[in-house]
Amino acid sequence: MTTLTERLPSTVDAPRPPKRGRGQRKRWELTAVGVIVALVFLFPYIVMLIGSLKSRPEILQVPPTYLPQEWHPENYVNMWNTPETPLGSNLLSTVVISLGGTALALLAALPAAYFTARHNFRLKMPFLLLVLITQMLQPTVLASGLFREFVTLGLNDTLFSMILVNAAFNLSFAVWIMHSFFRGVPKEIEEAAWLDGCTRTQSMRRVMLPLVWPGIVTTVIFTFIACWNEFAASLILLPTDTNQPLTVALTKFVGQYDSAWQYVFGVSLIGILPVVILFSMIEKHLVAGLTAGGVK
Amino acid sequence: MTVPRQRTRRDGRAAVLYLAPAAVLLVGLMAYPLFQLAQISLYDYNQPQASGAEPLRFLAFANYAELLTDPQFWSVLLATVLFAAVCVVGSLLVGGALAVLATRARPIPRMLLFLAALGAWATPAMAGSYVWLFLFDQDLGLVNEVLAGLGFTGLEGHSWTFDRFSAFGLVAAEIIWCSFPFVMVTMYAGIKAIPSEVVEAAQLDGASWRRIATGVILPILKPLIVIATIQSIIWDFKIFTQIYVMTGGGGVAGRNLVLNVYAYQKAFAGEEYGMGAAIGVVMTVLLLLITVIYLRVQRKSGWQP
Repeated sequence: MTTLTERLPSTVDAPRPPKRGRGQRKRWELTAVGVIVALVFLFPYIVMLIGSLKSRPEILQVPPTYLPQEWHPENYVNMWNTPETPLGSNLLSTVVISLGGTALALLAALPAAYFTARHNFRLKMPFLLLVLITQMLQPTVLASGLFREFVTLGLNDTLFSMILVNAAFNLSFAVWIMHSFFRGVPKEIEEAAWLDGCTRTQSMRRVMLPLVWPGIVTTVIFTFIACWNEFAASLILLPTDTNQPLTVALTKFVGQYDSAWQYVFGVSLIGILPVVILFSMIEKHLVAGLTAGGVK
Repeated sequence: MTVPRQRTRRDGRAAVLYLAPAAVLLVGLMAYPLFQLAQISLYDYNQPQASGAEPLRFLAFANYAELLTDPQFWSVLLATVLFAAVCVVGSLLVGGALAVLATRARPIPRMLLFLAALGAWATPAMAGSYVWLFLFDQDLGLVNEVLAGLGFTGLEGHSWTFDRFSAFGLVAAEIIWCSFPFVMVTMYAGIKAIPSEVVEAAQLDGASWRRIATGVILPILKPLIVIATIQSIIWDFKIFTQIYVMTGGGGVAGRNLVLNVYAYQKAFAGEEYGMGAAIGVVMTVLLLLITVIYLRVQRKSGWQP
């Protein structure tokens, strides 16, 4: 840990002229380590990519082949029309559930996080602890209760029910992250905005939200990915195959005796792609450290 | 200091306004199902009762008594705790180290690191389990093929998921692979958000790097580290998909079971819903205890939410 933390300070410095000699070599070693580590962690993707381009007989061949002997890019077209699952509908379900769940979780979490970060009240700790406790509950255990509830409300087997479930199961996390980001902004900044004549809404929009923007981006990424990958609740609560998200659709390709591994890997890659693109689009918000400029 | 009465009342109304959306969501989707879980755990509730063929029989705490005297429960509990501990420590170490590496690395390796992290993270547990299982498959897997090619002929056709510890190790590796990115991205955002003035001020005061790291940077990062640790414990304690997929529902004779899969096997495969609910309640109570202990420790060291 000490070796890690010793290096931390220079990361927050402004760019310095590169040191010659030892420092330079260290930098290159870090680059090499970075690339090697990244490749090791990326290896399963290479396997998925290669596997998704093999024919069904070849992927079940013993001993396994490293590269496909015949390339089958048409796997990516054929997987949308299989008897196993309606993949187009599955993709749409995943998108709707993830967007809805993320939006709802953020809308419910922001006011709660702001209020608990700014105000001291008697029920603050009980409230935050209660929120934390909900994190321990899980769809697999609560599924039977949720199912009965949705039947009563007439919401069973709908995408909206899964939006609610995803928002609720990610709320705790969103509240705690945003709580810590709101607490990181000194009260004085907000009070200065009020003194300058901002209303509460204005100070929230023009001062607070820009300052906690990295937190919001972090929360959105975390929540969206969690919704995107949710499996157990959808499996139990969405019996209609056109409502099921991609994660549940994946299981249809794996049978006890006969598995379509090429489609498992193809669908996995399709499912991973949007999230990676989303991340690379907003990566600069994560690293910008927008709070750094505000707290002077 | 006395606060005017009107002020407190207005604050009370504001509190309701701000906290209501979150509260409604949590009560509606957590409290009611939880109530159901606790209720079912007190009954003899198996397949005949669920289908209405036989009436419900109230058992009070007999399910719990049976569970706590079952040696398999204790062995599953021990395995769950040790397994979660390995996964938590592994994720924190790998994630923390890579976050620091990312802040130090040049743009291209940094981008690769983040691509790997977000890729692993974005992978559904289902897909991640399948690809790892496929890689380590005794006949179809590349790992055995490469090892055989390197001269480890004894490993040809070796099953990684048969032996208890090797199976747990394989699943733990997959879990660390898909959970380190959370730690990494959180720590990275935290390090980047530290105002450079704070560090510069400490430098001007003549503090050493070690002193700045432990006295300035770590305290600033502490709330994030606390969150990352709590999250990891909670996630890894209730692992389900990876164990279920990679060990075929809990391994040979259930020796790779963890509590969550054990509850599922009892409730859904064994159709003992009452007993499954009792395991769920025990699990929830244990997680509650872990969190309470952790918050106590943190508060003693000065952390306040």
